[in-house]
Amino acid sequence: MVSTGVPSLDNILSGDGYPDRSAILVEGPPGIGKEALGYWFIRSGLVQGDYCLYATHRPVSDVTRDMKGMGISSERVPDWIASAGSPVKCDLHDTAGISFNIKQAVHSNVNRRVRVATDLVSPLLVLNPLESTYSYWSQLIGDLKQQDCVLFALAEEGMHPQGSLTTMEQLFDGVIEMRLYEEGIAITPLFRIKKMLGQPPLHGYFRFTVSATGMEVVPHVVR
Amino acid sequence: MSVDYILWATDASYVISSIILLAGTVRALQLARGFAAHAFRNRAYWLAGLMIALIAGNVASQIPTPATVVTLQDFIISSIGGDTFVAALLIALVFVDRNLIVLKELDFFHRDSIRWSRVRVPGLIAMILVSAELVVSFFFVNTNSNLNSITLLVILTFFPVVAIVLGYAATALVLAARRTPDRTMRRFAMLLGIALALGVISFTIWIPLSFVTTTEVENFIASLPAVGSAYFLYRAAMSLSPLGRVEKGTE
Repeated sequence: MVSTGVPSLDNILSGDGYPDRSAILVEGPPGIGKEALGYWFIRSGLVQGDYCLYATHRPVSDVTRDMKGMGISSERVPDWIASAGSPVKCDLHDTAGISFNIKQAVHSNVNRRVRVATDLVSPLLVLNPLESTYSYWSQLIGDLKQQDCVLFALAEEGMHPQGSLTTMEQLFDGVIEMRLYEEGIAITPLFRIKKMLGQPPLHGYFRFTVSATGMEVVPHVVR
Repeated sequence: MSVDYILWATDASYVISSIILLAGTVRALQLARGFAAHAFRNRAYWLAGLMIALIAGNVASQIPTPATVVTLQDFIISSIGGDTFVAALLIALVFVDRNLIVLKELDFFHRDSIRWSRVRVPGLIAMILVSAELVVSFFFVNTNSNLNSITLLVILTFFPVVAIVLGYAATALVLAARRTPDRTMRRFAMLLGIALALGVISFTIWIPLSFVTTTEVENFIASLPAVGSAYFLYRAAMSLSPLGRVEKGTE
């Protein structure tokens, strides 16, 4: 198992974290804190000596600033595939190039556990037809799972037609949904674990908080 | 309809719009607390700030003003309604400007919506100048014998400038919203643009109406788009993030 980087979430996921050789999709509306989960996942890998790669459509400077804002130090940094500030550039119109660069980075660390975090699902889904994006991620996930690798992908809920993300969910071993929920007159940030490989269905909601000191996840009691 | 009914209906419209704005403020603050990303939290706080300024404007407009402005206290009481109104307009302009910058970044081709980047600074300066003129005019309105000329100057400058700048901003916002791939942002910007456009109609419609009807009817008609504007601001607050409903029995 691979630690999520958030101890309270590890406890919820049978005490260990994400399954080995798995692909995890975190979906939710913008601003909810999906990236925070990705940052803590990468930070945990860096602390444990795993090879970590962050593939993003944003510049490196934006992501590192975001990480600092969430209390994650930049003493150890992952390798980057980014739109700017990285040796390997992320060109959203060169999907084959992105796939090649990710696979090359993973294959050159064959003796280590590898963690890949990416926010490229939504941009590629916006720029390409659903069928070709599905096929693209299907192949990439299949290749990465040949190795000791966990892929952590983020998807923006508000950017796609309702059915697109549901289709993409089929490719992933674990799906976590984060969003704001209305409960009476209160609005609460909660997440649900829609599915997780090797785990019985986890019904119910979990309340989460993101702050500069870390992320905390606790089971939520429905009123 | 008698004048009493019209006055009652006008007051009711302002009470309704204040209640809607209050509900929107509470929702915006609740959403702000739920966001992890600073950009989204700030957007919710700005919207809450705008709605609070509009509520303050509604409340302040009900404060009876002194017959003559002699002391500083008289001046403050006389101008408090105008001050809060001006503050709301300036907050609205800066907030819309911030959103237009974000929408430009989100647009794949980074298009400048009806050349907003060239208009924003002159527009803001013009708004600040005419706002200062309006606030200062409260000192003279009740004391100066040239009441009509000062009022006319304010009407001829303040209302057209504000209507043009905010109307332009609202148009730029709606056009920019149509181009963004982010559905949440598109919906939010569209609703904010409509709210702003209705706000502009609400505080300028009395000018043409003043030629054809009484002050009471003018005020009543102007209060209707204000209710619409408050409603669309509430909807804009609710569109900041799609809300799920907790299903009971799944814990």
